[in-house]
Amino acid sequence: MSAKKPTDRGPELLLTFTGEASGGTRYTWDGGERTLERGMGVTVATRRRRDRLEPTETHFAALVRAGDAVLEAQE
Amino acid sequence: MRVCFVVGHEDTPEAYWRVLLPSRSLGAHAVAIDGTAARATALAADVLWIHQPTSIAAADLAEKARARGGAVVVDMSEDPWRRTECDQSYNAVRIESCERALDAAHLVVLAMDQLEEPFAAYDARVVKTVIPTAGWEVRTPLVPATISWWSDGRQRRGLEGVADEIIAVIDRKPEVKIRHIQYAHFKALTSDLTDSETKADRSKRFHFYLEGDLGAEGNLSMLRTAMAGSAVALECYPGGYGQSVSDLPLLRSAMLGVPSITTRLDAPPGAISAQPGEWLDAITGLLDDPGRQQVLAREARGWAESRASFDSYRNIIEEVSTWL
Repeated sequence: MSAKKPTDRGPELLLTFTGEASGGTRYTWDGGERTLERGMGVTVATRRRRDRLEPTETHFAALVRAGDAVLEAQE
Repeated sequence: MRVCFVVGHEDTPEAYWRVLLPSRSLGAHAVAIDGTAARATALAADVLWIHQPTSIAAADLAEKARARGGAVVVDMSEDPWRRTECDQSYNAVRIESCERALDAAHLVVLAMDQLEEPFAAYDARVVKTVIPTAGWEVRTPLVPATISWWSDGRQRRGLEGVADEIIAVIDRKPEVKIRHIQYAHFKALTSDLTDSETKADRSKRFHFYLEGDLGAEGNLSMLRTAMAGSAVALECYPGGYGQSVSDLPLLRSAMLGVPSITTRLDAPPGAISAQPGEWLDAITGLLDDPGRQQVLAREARGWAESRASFDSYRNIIEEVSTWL
């Protein structure tokens, strides 16, 4: 996972993680628990304090294939 | 005069647009029906404005507010009796609650002109959904082209009728991707595949967005960023439900300068009406014609900007306040 410097919006940051699903991960999507298909693009967003980024990255790493996720700065 | 907007059911679509935004603009209270102290706040208002009151609590609230002498406005952005055409139908309790609230209302407001027919038995006014311009910027179309889908979960049926055409589009145009796909859409667009490699190849054409802990504003920001710059947005409803349901999906895309293709018979400026069987030509025709995209994008944005004023809300509040 690589990371660009996110935009600082005070104590919290709006972050989006974008990557490619590795397949088989079950996730709540569109009102139900679904299995993500391998290959599909996934973006998950969160608000986190800068000093609490690591748990988010860990969480997202379970969702996407290692190395494909990019942490993008948003508005 | 105190005005309170109420989200009439916990899973009400469009509550952000029909409750939170107008309440902010008018300096009014806004509560969710199941929120802490929601009932007390709502009953303290002179004007109670309840959006989609399809819960027992909402019906009780409307009746009690009327009994106390307050003005009751019920706001509908869909035909609840036809919901089964696009999604799981409202059960009898939700329909009964809605009808109780409608009977308690002094005035019914509707999100679309086309809703006047199903609500013909009520004194009704059309108050179209408002979209503020701030934060909605038109982005140069992305290269390669992107198709987007932003449906609020009310388009869970009907996709089957156009799925083959959408698959044909992405087969013809291997660079094109579709953003903000819903599970119901994704399922229909991959159900013909059993081989895992083939399925993975097609899955790469779709991108979905998980709404996390952002709240309404944060999710909106994420999706607005995701949708901007798309070549075309899709809207697909089966049957008559889609002819009268709120045009919010078209409105959001339009404010981003994104043309839409819709199964609605009455497409607004910047959108193209296309029925199943016409989607392949409609989508590819637009993708192949950047000039037409630009024209439609300008028309769409102009139409959306015409919907940026909350004056219609103020007019209704003024009208009902004379009855107090």
